[in-house]
Amino acid sequence: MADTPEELQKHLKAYTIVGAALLVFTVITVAVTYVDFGHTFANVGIGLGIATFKAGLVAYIFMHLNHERAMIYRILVFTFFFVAGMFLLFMLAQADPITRFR
Amino acid sequence: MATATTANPHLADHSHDSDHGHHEDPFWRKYVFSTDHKMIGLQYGFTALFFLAFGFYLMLCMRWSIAYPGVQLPWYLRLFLVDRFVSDGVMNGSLYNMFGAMHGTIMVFLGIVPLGFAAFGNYVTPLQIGAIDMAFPRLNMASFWCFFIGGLMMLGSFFMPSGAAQVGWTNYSPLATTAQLDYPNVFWTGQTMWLSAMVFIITSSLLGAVNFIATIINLRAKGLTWMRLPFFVWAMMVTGFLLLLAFPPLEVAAIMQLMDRLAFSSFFVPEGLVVNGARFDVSGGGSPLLYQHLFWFLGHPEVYVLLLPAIAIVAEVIPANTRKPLWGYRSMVYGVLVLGFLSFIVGAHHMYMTGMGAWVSAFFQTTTVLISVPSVILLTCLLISLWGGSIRFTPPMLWATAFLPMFGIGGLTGLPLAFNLIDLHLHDTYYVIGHFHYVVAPGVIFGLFAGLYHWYPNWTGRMLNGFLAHLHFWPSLIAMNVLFAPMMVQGVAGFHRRWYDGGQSFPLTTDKVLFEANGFISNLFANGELITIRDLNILMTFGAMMLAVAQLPFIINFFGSLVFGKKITSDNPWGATTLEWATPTPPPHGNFTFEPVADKGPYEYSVPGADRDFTPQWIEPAEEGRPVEEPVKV
Amino acid sequence: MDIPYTVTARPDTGLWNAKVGIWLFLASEVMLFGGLFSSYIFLRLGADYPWPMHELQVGFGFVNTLVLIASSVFVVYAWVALKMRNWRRFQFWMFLVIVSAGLFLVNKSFEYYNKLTHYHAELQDGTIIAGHLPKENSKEAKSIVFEASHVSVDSASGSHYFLKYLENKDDVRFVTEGGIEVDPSRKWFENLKRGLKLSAKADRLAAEGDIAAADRLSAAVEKDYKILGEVNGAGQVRLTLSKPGKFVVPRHKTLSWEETKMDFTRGLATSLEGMLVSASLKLAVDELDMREYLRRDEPREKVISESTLFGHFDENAEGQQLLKDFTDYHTPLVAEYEAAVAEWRLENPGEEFEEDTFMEWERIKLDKLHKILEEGHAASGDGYEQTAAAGAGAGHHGHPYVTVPFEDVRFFSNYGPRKNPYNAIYFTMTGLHGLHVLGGMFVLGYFLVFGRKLFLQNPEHMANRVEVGGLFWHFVDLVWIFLFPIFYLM
Ligand code: HEM
Ligand SMILES: [Cu+2]
Repeated sequence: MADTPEELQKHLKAYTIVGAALLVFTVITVAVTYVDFGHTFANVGIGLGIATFKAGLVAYIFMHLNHERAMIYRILVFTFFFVAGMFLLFMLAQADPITRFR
Repeated sequence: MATATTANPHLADHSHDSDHGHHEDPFWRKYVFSTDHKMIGLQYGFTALFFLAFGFYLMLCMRWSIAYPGVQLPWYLRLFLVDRFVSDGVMNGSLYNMFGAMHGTIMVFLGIVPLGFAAFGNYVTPLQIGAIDMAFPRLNMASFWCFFIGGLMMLGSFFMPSGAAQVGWTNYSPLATTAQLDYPNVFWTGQTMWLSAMVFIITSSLLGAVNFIATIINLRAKGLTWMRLPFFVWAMMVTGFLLLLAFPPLEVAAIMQLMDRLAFSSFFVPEGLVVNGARFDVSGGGSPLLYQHLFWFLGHPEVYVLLLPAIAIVAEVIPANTRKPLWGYRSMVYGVLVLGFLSFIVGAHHMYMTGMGAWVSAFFQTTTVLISVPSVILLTCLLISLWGGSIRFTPPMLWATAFLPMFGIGGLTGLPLAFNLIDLHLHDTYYVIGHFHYVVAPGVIFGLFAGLYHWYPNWTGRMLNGFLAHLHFWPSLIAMNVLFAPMMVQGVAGFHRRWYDGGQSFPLTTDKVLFEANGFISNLFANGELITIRDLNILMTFGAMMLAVAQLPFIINFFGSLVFGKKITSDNPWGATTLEWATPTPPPHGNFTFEPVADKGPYEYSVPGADRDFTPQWIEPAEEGRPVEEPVKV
Repeated sequence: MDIPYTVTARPDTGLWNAKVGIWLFLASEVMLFGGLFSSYIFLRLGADYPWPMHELQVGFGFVNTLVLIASSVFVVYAWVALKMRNWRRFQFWMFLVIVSAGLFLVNKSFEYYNKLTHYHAELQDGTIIAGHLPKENSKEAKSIVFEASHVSVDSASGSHYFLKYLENKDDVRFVTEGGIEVDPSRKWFENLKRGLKLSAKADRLAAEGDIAAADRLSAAVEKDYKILGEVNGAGQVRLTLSKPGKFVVPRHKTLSWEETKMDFTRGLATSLEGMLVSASLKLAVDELDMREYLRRDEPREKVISESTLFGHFDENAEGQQLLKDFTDYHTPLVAEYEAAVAEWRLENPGEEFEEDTFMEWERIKLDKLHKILEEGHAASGDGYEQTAAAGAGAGHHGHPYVTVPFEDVRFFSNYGPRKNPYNAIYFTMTGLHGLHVLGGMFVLGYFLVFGRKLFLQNPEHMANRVEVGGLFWHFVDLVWIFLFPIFYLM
C-alpha cells in the first residue's frame, strides 16, 4: 500500500488531477443538458454516462478501489449485481403492459 | 483453571492469576450495557423469547375467534390487553386485524430473527471461530439497544389511542397509508409507530450484519480456513449478507411510507383514491406496486434469514449426535451460498396476483423453481447425515430429527405456490398460511429449540432435564401437526387467510362437507353429525391450546435447571468437535484460556484409528493439563 | 482484552477490521440508495403527469456539487497528511472539509426553504397556478377561517386537538349549556371519557343483575362526574364561547363547512357553529400551467377564455389583462403545434395519430409565463410591470393576487413532498443524503477535535480512522454526483 512518502506525494498529485477532472466534468454535465439530443432518453443516457464516469473516478481513485483486497471486490461485485437486478426489476415492472392503465 | 500465561494479548483476562487484583465489571456494565458477545446474545435471546411468547398469545386470541366467532374470549386470554379494546371481551374484526398484523410482525422481526440470528449467532459464532469477541463489540451493544427500542415501540403502539398497526405484517399501501389517518395526531398512531419501530429494527439488523460478517472474515482463529468453518458459521455469514443487502430496500419503503403518512406525499398512492367515501386529498401519481416490490425485495431473503440459523443449528446438532461427519459438507456450503444468492431474485413470487405483468411473473416463476434446488440439497444432506450413524436421541437431537420432516413438508407444499397458475387459486388462502407455518413454526422453532437444548450446558454448566424435555417435545410435535396440517385442507377448499369469524359469513366456501353424517369419522368425533371444512377450525384451535400447554414443561425446565440441573463434568458434554466446546464453562469474557488453533475440519467424528469417537477441531495446548473426559451419557 | 487487527491488517485477508466493516456498511448503503434510485426510475417511468424537468434551480445544485467534490479532495489530502504524520496539515484540510459540509447544508436549507414557501394549486378545471402566500396573514390565506360562537365536542371520541386551531385561546372561556365553566383540555376529555366508561360499567352491572353495586357506582359517578349531565342526546357536549373564537383551520383538517357551521375531521370529532369568515386560497401568482386544461377537445382559444381562473383575480382588470396576454402568447404556439401535427400526418399517411408522439408540444412550457410576459412587456415598454405592481398592492414581486374559493381548488400544496411524487422523491433522497452529510460532518469533526490524543499514541490507528471516515465521505459525494443530474438536469 501507499506508505512511503514518495508514493504518497505521487498520490497527492493524482488526487489533485482527479479533483480537477471532476469539476470539469460537472461543468460538462450541466452544459450537455441544454443541448437537445433528439429524445429525452438520449439526454438522460448521456447525463448518466458522465455521472457514472465521475462516480467511477471517485470510487477508483479516492476510495482506493484501484488497489484493494480481493475480499472487498467480492463484496462489491455481489452488491452491484443486486442493485442492477433491482433497477432491472423496477424497470421491467413499469414496462410490462398490464400495469399500464392509461 | 490452569494458568497458561502466554504473551498473546488476545486471551481472556481470566487466564491470568485470579489474585491479580482483577476487578469485576459493575452490574450495569456486565448485564445491561455489556459489550461481551455472549451477554448480548443472551439479552437478545431473552427479549426474543418474550416476544415469541407474546406473539403466540396474540395468535391464541385469534385462533379462539376463528373457532368460536362472537364468543367471549376465555378469562386467561382476557388477563391483559384485550380489555383495552373491547369491553365485552369478544374479538371483533379490527381487533383481529390488529392482533394478526402484530402477530406476524412480532414473530418475524422481534421473535425468530433475534433468536436465531442475533442470539445464537452472537453467542455461538465468535466461539466457533475461536475469536475473543465480535470485531466491533460496542457496535454490537448499539445494535441490541436499537433492537430493544424498536421492540418497545412496537409494544407501545398497543397503548396508543388507535391501537397497534392493523394492516398485516406486510403493511401494504395504500391501506397502510390511509389507515388510522383520522386520529388527530398521526404520528402517535400504531400504523406510524410500526414504521418508526421498523426503522430502528432495520438499523439494528444492519449494524449486526456488518459486525457478523467482519468478525467471520477477520477474526477466525489460526488454521481455521474457510473450508474448516463449521456450517453454522457459513450460514451466519450468508444470513448476514441477506440482512445487509435486503433490509435497506425495506428501510426505503418504510421511510417512503412514513413520508406518505406524515408529509402526505404520494409514493404509494394512485390518483383518485377514495377513502371513507371522500376523495383522498393528495396529489396521487404513485403506485402501490412500488411498495410491494420494495417490500418483497426484503421479504423473501427475510424468510431465509428466519430459516438458515435453524438449519445451521440442526447441522451442528446432527453430527454431534450421530457421531458421524456431516454428509456433504462442501455441497451444503455451496448450497447455502447459492440459496442466499437466489433468494434476492425470487421476491416477486408473492405478487403474482397484483397484475405486475407477464414477463415479470414468468421470470419469478423460473427463479422460484430454481431456488428449491439448493434448499433440497441442504435438507438431503442433513437427511443422509443420519444414515448409518449411531444416533443418540438426546433432547437436542429429538428436535433436530423432527425438524427434518417438518421443514420438508413446509418446503414441498411451497413448490406448487411457485407456479402462477396454481397461485391464482391458492393465493391468500390458509394453504399459504399452512405452508409457511410448517417452515417457520414446526420447522424453525424446532431448530431453535434444538439449539437451546444443545448450548444450554455451555451457557450454564448444567444440563436440562431429560424427562421434562421429552414432555416438551412429544406434545409439541403432535400439537404442531394438529394445528397446521388441516390448514392445507382448508386452503385448497378456498378458505381465505384473514377471516376473523372463521369463515362463518362465507358459507358457500366453508360449509363444504368434509365428512358425511354418520360416516365413520363423524360417528367417532361428532356424534354422527356432518363435519364441514369449517369445523376443522375447532380442531386447530385445540391444537394451538395444546401447544401452549406443551411449553410449560420447557419453561419450568429452562428456569429450574439454572439451579437444579445436573452439573456437567466436562466442558464438552456432548463430545462435540467444534471450538465453542474448547472454552471453560461458562466461557469468561474473552472466551478462551489458550490460543485456539485449528488443524482439521469441523466434523471429525469416529475417525478411524482415533482413540475417541470425536476428534476436536482444535489442538490441545501442550502445557495445558485440562482433563480429557468422556462425555456424559444422556 | 484487545480485539486483534484493529490497527494492523490480518495477513491472509490483508484487511483490518474497520476496513471490512466500512465496506460492508457501504454495501448496505449502496442498496439503500439503490432502492431509492430504482423507486425514482419506477415513479418516473410511470408518471402520469408531466415530469418537472428543470424545475429546480440548477445554480444551487451546481454549487453544491462543486463544494462536495472539493471536500472529497480535501479528505484525501487530510488522510495523506496523517500518513505523513503531519497533524497541522491534517487539521487544515479537515477543517476545510467541515466548512464545505457546512456550506453544502446551508445551501440546501435555502433551497428547501424556497420550495416549502412556494405554493401550488390545481383548480377543478385542471388549470394549475403557483405562487406565494401574502406576507401578512399568510396562515389565513391558505386556511378556513371561522368565527365560532359554539363548539360541540363528541363525548366518546372527541379530542382537545381543536384548541390547536383557536387563535384567541387565552381570551375565550367555555361554558356548558348547564352553565358549568370548563377547560376542554386533554385532561378534561380524559376525565369525561373515564366517567362515560364508569357509567357504562354501572349499566352493565345493572343488566347482569347486580343492582346494589350498580346503584353504588351510579351514585359515585353522578357525584364525581357532574359533567356527564351535560352530554346531550347526540352524545355531544355543546360549549358556548364567552366571545367569538377565531379558528384558522387547514382544509385537510375539516370535513365540511357552510356559512354557519364547520365540522372538523372524524378524528377530532368536533363541530363549530358561528360564521364562516373565509374559505379561499389567496396567492400572488407567479406561474401558470394550463397543460392539463388545454387537453380538452375544443378550440383552444375558447377553452382559455372560459377558464374560471381569470374570474378569480382580485383586480379584475388585471385578470383580463393576463388573459389577453396569455392568449397572445399562446396563439402562435397552438398554430405551430397544429402545423406540426399536420406535417406528421403528411409524412405518415394512414397511421393513427398518437398524442404521445407530440407530448413535448402538448407540454408547452407555460410555467414561466409570467416571467416571459414581464420580459416581453418590458421590451415593448408598455408599463405592464408597473400596472401589475400597482394593482397587486404589496404583492410578492409584483405578481397579481388571485383569490380562489376552496370549492374550486382540487388540490393544493406547497412545493414540498406533497406536491407530486417527483417532489416527494426529491425531498426523500436529498433529505437522506443531507442526513448523511450531517453524520459525516459529525464524525470527521470528532476526528478533528478529539483525534490528537490517539494520533500521539498510535498515529497509524488515527490514519485508519480517517481513511474509514473518508471512505464514507466519498460515498456521500458519489451519491450526490448522481442526485445532481437526475433531479436538477434531466
Ligand atoms: C407457533 C404457533 C403459531 C401459530 C399457531 C400461528 C398461527 C397463525 C395464524 C392463525 C395466523 C393468521 C391467519 C389469519 O390472518 O387469519 C398467522 C399469521 C401469521 N403468522 Fe403465525 N402462527 C404461529 C407461529 C408463527 C411464527 C413462528 C411466525 C414467524 C415467522 C409466524 C408468522 C406469521 C405471519 C407472518 C403471519 C401473517 C400475518 C398477516 O397476515 O399479516 N407465525 N399465524
Ligand atoms: Cu418468498
